[in-house]
Amino acid sequence: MSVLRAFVTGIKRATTEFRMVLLLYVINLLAALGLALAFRSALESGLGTSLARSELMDGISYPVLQEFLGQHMEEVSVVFRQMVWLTLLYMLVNTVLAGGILTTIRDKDVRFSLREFFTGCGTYFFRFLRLFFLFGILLIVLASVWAIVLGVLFDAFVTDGTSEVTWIIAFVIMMVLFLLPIMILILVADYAKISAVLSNTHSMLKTAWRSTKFVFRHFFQVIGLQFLMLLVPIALFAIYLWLDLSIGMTSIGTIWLMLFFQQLFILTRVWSRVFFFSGELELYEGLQISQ
Amino acid sequence: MRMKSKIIPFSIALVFCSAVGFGRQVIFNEPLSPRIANYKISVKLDTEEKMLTGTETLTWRNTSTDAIRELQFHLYLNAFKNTESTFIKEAGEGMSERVPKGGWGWIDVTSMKTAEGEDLTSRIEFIHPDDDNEKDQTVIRVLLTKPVRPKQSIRLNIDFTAKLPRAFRRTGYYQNYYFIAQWFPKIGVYEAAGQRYAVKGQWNCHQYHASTEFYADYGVYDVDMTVPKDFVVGATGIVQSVKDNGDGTKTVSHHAEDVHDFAWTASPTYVDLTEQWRHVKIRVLMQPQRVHQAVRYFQAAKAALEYFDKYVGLYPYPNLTVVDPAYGAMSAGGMEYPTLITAGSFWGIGTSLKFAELVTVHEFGHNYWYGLVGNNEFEEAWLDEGFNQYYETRIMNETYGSKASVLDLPGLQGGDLEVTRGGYSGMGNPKIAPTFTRAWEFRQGGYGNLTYNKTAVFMTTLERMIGRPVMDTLMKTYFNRWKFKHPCARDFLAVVNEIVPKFHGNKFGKDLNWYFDQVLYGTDICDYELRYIENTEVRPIQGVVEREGKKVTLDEKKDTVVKKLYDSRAVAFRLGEIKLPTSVLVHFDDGEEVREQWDGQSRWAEFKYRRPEKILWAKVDPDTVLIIDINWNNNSKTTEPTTAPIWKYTLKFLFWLQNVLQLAATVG
Repeated sequence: MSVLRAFVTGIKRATTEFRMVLLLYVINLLAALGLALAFRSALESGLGTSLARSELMDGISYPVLQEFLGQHMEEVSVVFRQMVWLTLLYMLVNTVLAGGILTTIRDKDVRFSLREFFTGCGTYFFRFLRLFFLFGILLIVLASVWAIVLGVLFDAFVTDGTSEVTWIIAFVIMMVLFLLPIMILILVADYAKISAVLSNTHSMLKTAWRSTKFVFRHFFQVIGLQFLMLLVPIALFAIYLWLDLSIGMTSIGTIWLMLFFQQLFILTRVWSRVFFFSGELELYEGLQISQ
Repeated sequence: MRMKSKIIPFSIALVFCSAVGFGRQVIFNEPLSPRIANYKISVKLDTEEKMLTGTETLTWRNTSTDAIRELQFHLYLNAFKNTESTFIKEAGEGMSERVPKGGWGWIDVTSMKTAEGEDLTSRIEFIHPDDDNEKDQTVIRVLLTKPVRPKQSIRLNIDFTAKLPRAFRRTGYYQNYYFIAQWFPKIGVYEAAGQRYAVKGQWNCHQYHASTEFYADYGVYDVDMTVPKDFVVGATGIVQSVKDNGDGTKTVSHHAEDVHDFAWTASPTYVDLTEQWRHVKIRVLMQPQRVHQAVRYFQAAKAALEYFDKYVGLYPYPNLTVVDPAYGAMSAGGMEYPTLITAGSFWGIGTSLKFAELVTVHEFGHNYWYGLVGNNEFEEAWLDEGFNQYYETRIMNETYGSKASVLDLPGLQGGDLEVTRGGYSGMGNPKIAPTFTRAWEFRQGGYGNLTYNKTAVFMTTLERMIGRPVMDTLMKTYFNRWKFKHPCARDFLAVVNEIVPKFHGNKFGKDLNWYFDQVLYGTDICDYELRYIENTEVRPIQGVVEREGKKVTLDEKKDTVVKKLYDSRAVAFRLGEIKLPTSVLVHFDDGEEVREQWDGQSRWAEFKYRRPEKILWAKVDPDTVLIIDINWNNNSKTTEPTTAPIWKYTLKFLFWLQNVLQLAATVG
């Protein structure tokens, strides 16, 4: 099973399931909309009917922003605190949705239906929830221990350094070293879900162990595919950034134009999630069969 | 721009000059200052032990009419001796934790003798004039056996030994980088009755506090610094000679005139660069990894020199040295000494963040406000830090653009004046103390914001009230009158009250004390608000009216006036206690504008109109004169607010929130 084939199949599969992607996008939008409107309300009441509003059109005006935050920090803090809770809730929602996504892309010949999708969600929810807690705990432990270890190494490396260049290099290396095992753990969690759906097993510990073995047995293929797939959202983000810098949001027309591109980008991000699952599923199936 | 390394040719030239008997070069033909405290110091830097061993000959002149029976000296380095010093105690718990092993510093006076050989060492005692901390050893006094009579001088030979601290505040070492400031026994200022606030003759020699700086008399410094041969040395004043001692060391001699402090630096890794600006040789001592940033220092230094020369007065010295502090000693950055300043840059930081420029401009400015005009920084820091901050905002904004002179990122910019004002208006406790407070008596972060930022803000407000040409005349007058002297607030206000009426007559009253009473001596805030706008359609008269001697009952439909009229009003409030004159601009929906004057004395002001047009918007202080107003967002109101910016940021927020959620989905 070649990485490239999994990559191409992943793209095709995710694109075929456009209706599911659209559904996931709507869920994402609805989840974010409520808080965005709360943010709008804080902004609206904070700036009132002041002419200072118009100073925000060309970019963030330092005095307007600084005074707004000075006067309305509490409202803004509430919005950001709610954002944390929403993010946690959204993780759980995605634990539900993962079952639906994986059953949809598993059943290649079955046309997408909401019923099928939500049946998949329900079927795997408690199993994925157990995986979520299992990998959540592992993630927290790994991140904490690894952060302490790397922190000590970082201090030893930069203490009495002669140049900030050393500090920057050390920081970048430490960040890569920090993120790499976390990425691998998330990958193991993804393959555990795939494994659970393909083999319909109920023991999540066994599934987690099986996916761990799979990831490390096929380490370079798994990692290779991951980095290859990562190029897609990175390229999409680069395009978005270019559009944002080129168009800006300095008039009513460009605001709505950018809204279109923003939402298009979010749609591609949601699509990327399905694409990642599809590519991983393809690789998993292919490598299991070849064994 | 021309930039070249001159380490080797420069050193060779100096050695040659020394070898042929080049004498002490006089900088100024006529003394520019009273030259009260004059030092000749020989000091040796022991790079293994991080020690200084020095001998100092101090010639001090009594310019008062008093017979002086004791002398007082600063021993600044003892601030870093232990956790009992006033400096460390005031700096807070975190400070002592930052001192690495072996990083403490101290200074001992091992001998003090008069020129006649009388040993005064045993007569030295520590004093603590500012607090009851008996363990603070940053000030000593020595009782003389013979008083110094008026117009007489005393010459003292002082031996001292000092251990340099690891650089964690202004002075010290980091590996082979040395920045050596406040390092020698330095005599205080004897203030005769009538000088500043002295009602009788007294020493002004404060302890070294966490937030205080310096105050000293002007004089001549001749300093011989012995360092390892491969070290590059930078110091106050000009190089007189460089002598190879033949033992792996060299002695670099510097001479400075009409300055009130002497600082120096040494490191083998400096990249030594020079450029010329008119009569001033600008020398930049760069860390090797940041050589590419030197151009920013040169540009900023030249901009500052040009600006001060044009708007304040001549920079009299022939040189300026800008020191780029070593990594690990950044806490020695951002400091000012006569003809030598420390700046600060960071590898990889581009011009979007103009910290290197800002620090250079600021610290150079101190050569005027602190250096040439020698106010007491302990007691009235606003006179140097605040004035300097004011000029920093002017120079930075003129040189780099008023909207992006500090921060210039896509979508977020910040000008120096905006950031400075933000420091004051954004502080949670602007009423915590008046700006006119002794530096060590500020609490809870008040020192920085009230001394630097608030002063810059009220100076800019004053400038916009009286006009920049008047402000420039005022500051030039103050500079010329008080250079090489020790002015106080009263002296500055006297200049203000002399200059402003010359240009404005009684427009601001007989003097501007009312202004400074509020902004300098008071703690109140300034906040004007445009509270509301109302437009009410004028209803036609109904009922019975007299017409041609007859009572006529008006028919509402028939007698309705065709042209609509509106009773409109705009109401402005003064929320703060500071009362400043301002104006209110009222804009009608046909584009016409009316400018109303308001003296700001009453709590609120109402502006009423009956016109066919409605008020579209109104704004208090439309010309942004009142920089000191802590909230500009509430200065205006419109009846037709634009919703586009609200949507813009809502949609941006929505977009990034969706991204965060999608990232979370990866883990879920």
